[in-house]
Amino acid sequence: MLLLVQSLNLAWKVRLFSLGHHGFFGLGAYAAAITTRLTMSDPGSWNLEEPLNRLAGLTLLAVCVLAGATLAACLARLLSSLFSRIRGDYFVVATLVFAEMVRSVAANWDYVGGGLGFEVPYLIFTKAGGERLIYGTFYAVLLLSLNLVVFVAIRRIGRSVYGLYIGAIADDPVAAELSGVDVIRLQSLMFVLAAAVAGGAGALFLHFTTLIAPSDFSFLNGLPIVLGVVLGGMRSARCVIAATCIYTFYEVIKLRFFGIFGPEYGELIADWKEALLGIFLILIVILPALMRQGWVRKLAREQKGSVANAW
Amino acid sequence: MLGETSAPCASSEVLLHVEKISHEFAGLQALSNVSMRARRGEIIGLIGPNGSGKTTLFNLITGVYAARHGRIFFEGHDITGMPGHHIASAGIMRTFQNPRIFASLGLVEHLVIPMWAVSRPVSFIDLVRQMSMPWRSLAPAAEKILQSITALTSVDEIPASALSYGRRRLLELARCLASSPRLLLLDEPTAGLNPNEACEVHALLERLAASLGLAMIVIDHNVDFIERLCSRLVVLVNGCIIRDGPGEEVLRDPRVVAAYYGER
Repeated sequence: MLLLVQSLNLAWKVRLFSLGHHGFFGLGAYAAAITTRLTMSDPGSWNLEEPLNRLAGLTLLAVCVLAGATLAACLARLLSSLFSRIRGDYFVVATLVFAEMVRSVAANWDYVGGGLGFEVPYLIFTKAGGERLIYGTFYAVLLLSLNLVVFVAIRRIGRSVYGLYIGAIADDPVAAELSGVDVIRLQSLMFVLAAAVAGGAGALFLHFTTLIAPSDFSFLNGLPIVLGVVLGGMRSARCVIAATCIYTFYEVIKLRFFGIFGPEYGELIADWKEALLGIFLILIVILPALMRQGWVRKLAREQKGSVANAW
Repeated sequence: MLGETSAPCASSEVLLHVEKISHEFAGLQALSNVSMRARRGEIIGLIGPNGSGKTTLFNLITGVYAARHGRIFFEGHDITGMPGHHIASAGIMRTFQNPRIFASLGLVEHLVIPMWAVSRPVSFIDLVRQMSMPWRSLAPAAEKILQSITALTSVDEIPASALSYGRRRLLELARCLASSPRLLLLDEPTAGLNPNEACEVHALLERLAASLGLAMIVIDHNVDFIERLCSRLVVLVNGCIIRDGPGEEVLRDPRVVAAYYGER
């Protein structure tokens, strides 16, 4: 669900094919971790079972999300000015490197738990006992409404002049620039906005799982974000959302489905998860091309038919 | 309705001043020491054999390439090395040798983009402000220009990619005019058009020049078209201007003839 927000925004990026979006996600999570640690004195004294006062918890959550979004946005601004001269494939690699840097810094910084990860107390509700359902519902509602806000915001941008600018850049950046659109600045703006949403999502992720580790923000865990966008066809917000939902559903049922054949199959699939992801990606890239070929042939046949009829 | 006609300007009559521009690509000297001036409302033909640097000159003026040697002034302001969108906002618009349209966008949308982009810089605050304003509210003015240039309307709601080659050229031209520029750079406006269409383009350009006081620099290989349209011709050969003057004189110049048809 969190991925949804990000992938939506990834799609937004005008010709900035970033593979490092999970870096901003991680950055947001760690910004939230730092904020939490700063506000709540000594981690040794934390009672991990007991939630805070609800109002305080809610405030802290909001502050964390803001902190995550702000930090991610600031870094994105910095990166976009650094990367503005890098184009194409090199940009992709640079974003990947950035995400890897976030991960390795987190892994070596003891203040946020280092490689072992960082655990925070439950903020508002606990997962224990009867409150488990409320806990789940609270975050589900929160995330859904945030998704809705982002969706509506993107839609409104899409219908404004900026939507046209973005379409123009996607079609022909040179012609867009010479029509008066500040391409680099708009790209940077979109990059920053996307990063801010990812950062906010990261902060929520921390408080939802209450335990994060640097490995959560590895490349393989970032891949589904890209997958959602590619699967959704890059530009249409609705398709990207649908694709992400389908993919998430697949992730969830995958283990159970193969578990039917016996627990050892379930484990086998879990072991081969990454390989499957790879196959999945390849299929996605190849299938539409194959389908299009089929379509073209069919279409050509139809047109021949209509010409014959006309005669 | 195409913006205000040439506003009275206190500054000199010279609109564009290119001063000793040179440009090279990895050792190949594309332009060397090229200087030229364009006055307000003047239509200049830029001719020369393939590879003589005509399009490169356009690319330098419009900021596609950054000029490293020489200076370019527009309306008295130094625009050398400015990014393309600045130059577009300053009032120079261009078309391309192969029409570069936004394939996935509709027709009116092409015109709304420059109309707004040249007057409002991209910023977060502007983005937030625009979010409450769908672009459709800006369409009527764009629609008028579109219709007067291409005789197309958005009623058809077709994407630009569905247009024929000639129509794409017209759409590109309409896009240029939407922001009411003062100088138009046209890169082979008749290439790929049949004689009838070329005639239409000629009439259209003359009409625009007369009604808007628009200055134009036109690259074309259609000598007949160029001769009838332009009051002045500039001939580029191997990156150097070899002749600059009134049409018939230039075309009869033996050096120009030699450059085009070879020595007799």
